[in-house]
Amino acid sequence: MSPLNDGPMWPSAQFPDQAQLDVYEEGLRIMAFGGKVPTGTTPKDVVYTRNKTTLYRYRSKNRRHATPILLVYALINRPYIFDLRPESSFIKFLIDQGYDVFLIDWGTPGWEDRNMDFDDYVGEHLPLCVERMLRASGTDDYTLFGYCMGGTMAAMYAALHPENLRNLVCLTAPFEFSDTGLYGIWLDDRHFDAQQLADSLGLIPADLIDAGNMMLRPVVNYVGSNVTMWDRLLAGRDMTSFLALNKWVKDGVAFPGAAFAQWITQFYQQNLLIKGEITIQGEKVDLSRISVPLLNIAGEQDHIATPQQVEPLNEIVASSDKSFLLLPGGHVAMLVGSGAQKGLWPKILEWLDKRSD
Amino acid sequence: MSTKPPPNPFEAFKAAYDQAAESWSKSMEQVLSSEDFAAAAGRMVARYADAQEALRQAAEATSDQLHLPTKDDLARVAELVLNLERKIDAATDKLFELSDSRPELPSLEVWTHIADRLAALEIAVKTFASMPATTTPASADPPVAAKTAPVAAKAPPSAATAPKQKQPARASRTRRTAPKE
Repeated sequence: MSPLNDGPMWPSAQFPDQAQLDVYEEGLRIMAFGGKVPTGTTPKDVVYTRNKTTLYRYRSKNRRHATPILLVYALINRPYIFDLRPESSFIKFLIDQGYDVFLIDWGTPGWEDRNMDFDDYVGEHLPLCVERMLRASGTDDYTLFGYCMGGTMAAMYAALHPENLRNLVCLTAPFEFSDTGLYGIWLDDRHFDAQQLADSLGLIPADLIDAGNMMLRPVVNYVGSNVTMWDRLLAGRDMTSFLALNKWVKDGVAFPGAAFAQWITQFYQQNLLIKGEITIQGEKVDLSRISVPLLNIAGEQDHIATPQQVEPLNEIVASSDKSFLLLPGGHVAMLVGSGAQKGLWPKILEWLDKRSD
Repeated sequence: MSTKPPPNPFEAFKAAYDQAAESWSKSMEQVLSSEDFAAAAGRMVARYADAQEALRQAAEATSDQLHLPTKDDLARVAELVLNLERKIDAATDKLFELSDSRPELPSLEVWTHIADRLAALEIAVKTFASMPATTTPASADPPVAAKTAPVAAKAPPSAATAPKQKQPARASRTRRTAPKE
């Protein structure tokens, strides 16, 4: 029988006790203010800073691999998704396996950064971070690991600066933008003027970006996530992982207007990357110049970077050693979900171990 | 009077959600994937941008009248700081280049060590200079100040214990960075 037909909702004989009320209060607090648990707790050193960009180093206590890994994340959201919680930290996993790990945090742009675009990030900040990372790590080569938009940026950088690069790993990074699903319909240049938005706002608010992503699956993202939260909470299950992810989802950063306009116009609307017509500091980004070993990974349920957007990189690059993995999972769950530790992580490790000494 | 626990209101909602989520999603997808929705969303975003720009211009005009700095003014100051940062980075790059190309030059660690020793010597000299002039037999204990002077009273590090010069481990590394300053 459905609870809807199961008599009065609050029988006069028994009102919820204080413990139950506390649970409801906690649920309402999470809905209103989001999760509040410590995240990104793996110890790290600051190696270098430039403007808002910070290069962090996560030292391995038992470094076994000479080739360090440089993690690059998107300009939106925060890179602590790589180190969400100790029990779901991809970075901790890598350093425990003996890798020297570096992470670029693009930081939170200020009004003075509204004119920053990919020329600045890929053409200026990323090379500086690579230089400083190699010095700090004391090595001559490195693995570049990009996630989401960070993967697109990493591939662009790899095409421009193949020197010293040993491996390239791209995780759920879009390269082909001819069919981007709902994004393609909404961002069609007949309806959406990215340049006007960038000129008017300067910095594109994180909430606006988040709303766009959430609207890809509005029922699941706006209702389903709250159902899941209440379900776990009322069942007395551990909420830590849920709260950490909830915190990260709501902890976005603004998108510098110039970079936003470039991303929407040149990538989504004109699909220039795959055509080799994107320029960084005057130089064309030709992805076919990538010849290092490539591991390119997509998620079967990824609605943000669909497999159709991810896979074409493998068809373009000149690498003789290249792999494409299609794994179960969505854009984020694949990296930090409960299945990541037995699915994605060991597969990446196995690939890296053969190419990092 | 009933004594059974109250039905959980969440369960009712979850049951409704589980039953309807799929059909809700399909209905929403039909709406969201329509040209009409895209056009309406585009217009809404454009009006939002217009409103935000008008607000910003009004705020700037008000700040100007009140002789208050605007966001643009503060951004200009920040840009000056960023320019300085670029210059420091450029100077650091030059230092690295010099260090890489001239491995015989002392490394930064050696210079730091020398600076530390010079500072310690300076303290010791000042301490001696501030002492009253007394005649001390050659065989007597050293002055108290010499015992208390930091580092200088300790055995100075010999050349053998000084940090070794940085080896040109990375001298062969290709220069990657060509930032446009």
